[in-house]
Amino acid sequence: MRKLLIPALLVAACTKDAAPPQSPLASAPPRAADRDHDGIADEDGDENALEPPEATEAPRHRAVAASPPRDTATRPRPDLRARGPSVDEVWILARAPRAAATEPRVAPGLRAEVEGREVPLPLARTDVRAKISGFLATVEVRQRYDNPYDRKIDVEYVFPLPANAAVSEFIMTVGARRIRGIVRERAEAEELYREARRQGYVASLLTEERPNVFTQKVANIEPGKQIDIALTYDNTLPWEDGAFTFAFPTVVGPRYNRAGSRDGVGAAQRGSAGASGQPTEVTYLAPDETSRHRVSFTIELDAGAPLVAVDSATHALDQKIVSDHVRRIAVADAAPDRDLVLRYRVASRPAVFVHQGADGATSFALLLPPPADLRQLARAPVEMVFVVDCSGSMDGLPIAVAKRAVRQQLARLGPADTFQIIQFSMDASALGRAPVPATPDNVARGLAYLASLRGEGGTEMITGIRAALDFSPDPQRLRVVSFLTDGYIGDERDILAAVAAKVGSARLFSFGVGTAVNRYLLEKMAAFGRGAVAFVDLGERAPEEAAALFYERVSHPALADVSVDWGAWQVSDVYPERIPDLMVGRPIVVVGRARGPLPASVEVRGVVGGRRVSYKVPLGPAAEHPALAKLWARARVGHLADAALLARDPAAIVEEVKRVALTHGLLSAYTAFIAVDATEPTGGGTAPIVPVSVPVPRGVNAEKSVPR
Amino acid sequence: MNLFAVSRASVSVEHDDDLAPRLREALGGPALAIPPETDAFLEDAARMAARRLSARRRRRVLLAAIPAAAAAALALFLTLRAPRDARDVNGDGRIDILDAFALARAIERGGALRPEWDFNGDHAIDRADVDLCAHRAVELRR
Amino acid sequence: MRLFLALLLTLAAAPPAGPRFRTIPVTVESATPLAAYQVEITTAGRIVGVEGGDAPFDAPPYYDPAALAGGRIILAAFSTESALPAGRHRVAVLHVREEGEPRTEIRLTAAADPGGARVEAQAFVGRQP
Repeated sequence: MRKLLIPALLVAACTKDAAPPQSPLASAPPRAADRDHDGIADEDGDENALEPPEATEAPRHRAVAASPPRDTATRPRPDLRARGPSVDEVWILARAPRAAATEPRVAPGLRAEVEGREVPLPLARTDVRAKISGFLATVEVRQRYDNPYDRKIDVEYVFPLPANAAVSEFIMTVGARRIRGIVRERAEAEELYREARRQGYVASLLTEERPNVFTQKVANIEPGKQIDIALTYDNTLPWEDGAFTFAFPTVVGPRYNRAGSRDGVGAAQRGSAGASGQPTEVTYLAPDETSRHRVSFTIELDAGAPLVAVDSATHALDQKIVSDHVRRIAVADAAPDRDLVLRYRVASRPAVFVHQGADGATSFALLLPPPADLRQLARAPVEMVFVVDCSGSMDGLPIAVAKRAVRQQLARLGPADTFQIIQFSMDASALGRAPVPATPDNVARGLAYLASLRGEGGTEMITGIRAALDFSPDPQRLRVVSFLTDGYIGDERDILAAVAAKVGSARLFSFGVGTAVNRYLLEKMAAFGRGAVAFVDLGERAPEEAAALFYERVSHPALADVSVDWGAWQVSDVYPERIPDLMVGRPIVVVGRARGPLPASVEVRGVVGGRRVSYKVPLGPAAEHPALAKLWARARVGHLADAALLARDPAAIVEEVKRVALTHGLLSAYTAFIAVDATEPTGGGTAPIVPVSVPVPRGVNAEKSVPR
Repeated sequence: MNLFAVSRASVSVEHDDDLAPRLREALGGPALAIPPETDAFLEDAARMAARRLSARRRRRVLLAAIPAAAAAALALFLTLRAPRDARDVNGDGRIDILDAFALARAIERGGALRPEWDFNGDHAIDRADVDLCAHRAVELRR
Repeated sequence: MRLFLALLLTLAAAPPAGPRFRTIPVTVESATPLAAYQVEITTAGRIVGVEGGDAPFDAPPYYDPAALAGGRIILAAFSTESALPAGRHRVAVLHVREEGEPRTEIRLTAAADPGGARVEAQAFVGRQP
């Protein structure tokens, strides 16, 4: 279709293998929840699935480096019944995989350099197509599943998306036919999926396990067949320190679950699925294994204002300049082992987007800047508490980077400040019993303590929270807690509830350290702790930059007790409900609903340094964006989820989440997308489940983070 | 007759690119269109009435019909002046898939495009705007 | 014996008891080439997928995903291609799960010819003779 450009003036308003050697194709048993419902082995007598491999037939999966076929035919069948949770594990035997552990793979640019054998997995690739307008992104994520095995399979893939993604479209492509999925209550969608699966129909189910962790299930993929799943989401992009950031996660890091936890996100080695005992589980490739799964990105960036710079510290970008506002960006065949983080700076910030809904109400997204004069004001003395995650997943480069960031910050403290350094893994310990003045001697002691820290053990983050917030506050100083972690814990709720309960008048700043951190946890910790979040990549200059920006933030007072006078605009349902403190370099995005004409400006009021201030934010011409109603609905769902975290009886809140999500056709913790191809059932009974194993995030020590 | 005059003018508005802007300007409204159903109803009613009446009675009825016609013309005039939803691309007073189709055709054929059809405000009228228009057509909450 | 056999055959031919999945074709019949259509469908079954029909309406039609849970849906699509179908044409397919007697109703709310003019047309659900 021809594209017609309109002159601007016309638009006025407008984990590792210690077990006996096993087939790289060994699959997972259905998890406890699935076994309860599906009873694969019982129903279908799937002992038949433990058949010998057909070593002479050609592989269906892509051949890689030339290497001799693996001799799976002579491999002894392990005593599955001696393996505890994997007692009814089903083995999928492929046709003579040719990949072997000989040829090192050296890829250009920032691609992961993995030496190892390629294991055949049913996820071939992920294609991400993003369209960014100002600070709003619409992103299509297309996953291509196929069946490299010699019998019908089901697939389960646990993958990440941004925590504020409003997922509203789901299309399953079977051959040339595209079937749009339906959003339903989760329990109903799960029941429909189980039934379609049992009856042999090709079906898919998308569920949300955490705001940033999702499970895609695809049932009854016949040998040689291909199924594409495309989901579309919208989200707002944060403005962080002078630039908008588009971040797309590609892998869920290996998460630690406290003893007794049964509602976490677990980690297990490939071939040991179910071993974590958690309802949601990610299986990880061994360090000497790789898969063919690659992720490609196509990003159309229309900043709505002249672009000053577009860059990425995580990936090499192929950029095409279309105009001063517009760039087309591509990243081809990236390894799914780290987030793509794209930052773009614009000459002027777009202020507001609106969309008039069918019900007459206008949804809006507004970028609310801090007052310009904050930078001129000096801060009061602080009590700086550094909390360093020293768990196994932080071992190596992540903890080294965290230490560098803390060193930078220590060097900037003034003589009136005090500081404390706390480390936690299975338990917590500290530099001293209480914070000490930031004298040169004390800083030297702190640096020595910092140098002694090592990454080992689990992530009992709650001990770190308690150690940082449970001691008496210093009436002379504002407590600033700086939390450095990858956030790899299976159940975030305890942590967030503890932060909300204990933070008091302190401010908590979270630093995500790593290539694929748990952004949801870090962002929420900062939100509950009335601080801010920063992400420290493992690159060369990252810790210094992050430390400098952090210092800039805490060096000036923030605008607190923020409220907005909307004027004649009849505004309601604004999220975040309580506008957080506005800090230097950190405008925030608020979404809401309104009636009446858009005013020329709104007035922001607050308190800084004990005095009341107000300033006008001009709104300028508004651009319409159809995703705003969904973004508002997602923000409301997020707000309700936060409330449910702290509520004694969250039942009513859950009902409201369902209502909002169903009204707006959104995926949530309580709604799910289902698509069934009811044309014709496949034969061959119920298929075994093959989990899609993923690499551990780049820089993470697999041996110390994925349980054996 | 007044009714016919207005009716024909409205037909011209739908199909005459030159006349539409002039009339639009004269009426001072941002959009001008008469739903075809209204148009057809008025024409049919007039023809049927004309057929049924004798010449003598026609004169009498016409005299009596003047105030009614004037009222109808005024109502039509007010309708024309009322701001129209920009998504009513084909100007038939309804928002349905035909509006998206009309927009798609206009884009493909290089026809005149109005700035208000840039629904997503990206300074381009393209498939995305057609999709927005179509999605609005199928909303059950309308 | 014959009666017994007939009974067996009848039972064998009967649809399986309990919930079942099936497709419901959506057909529009128009004397003039069909370029656009919009239909409103109400079904007692639970919709589990919406698919396009035959070319040029083979892409999934537009619909309101939020509306599906209620068993009522508006489907619409158009085509700007030159080769357009006249007569009976399958424009979409619903994938549903049904229990008991299937009840589906359809109402055509708009149909247009290649010039964009409204045309008389009829819409059907299910397989037509």
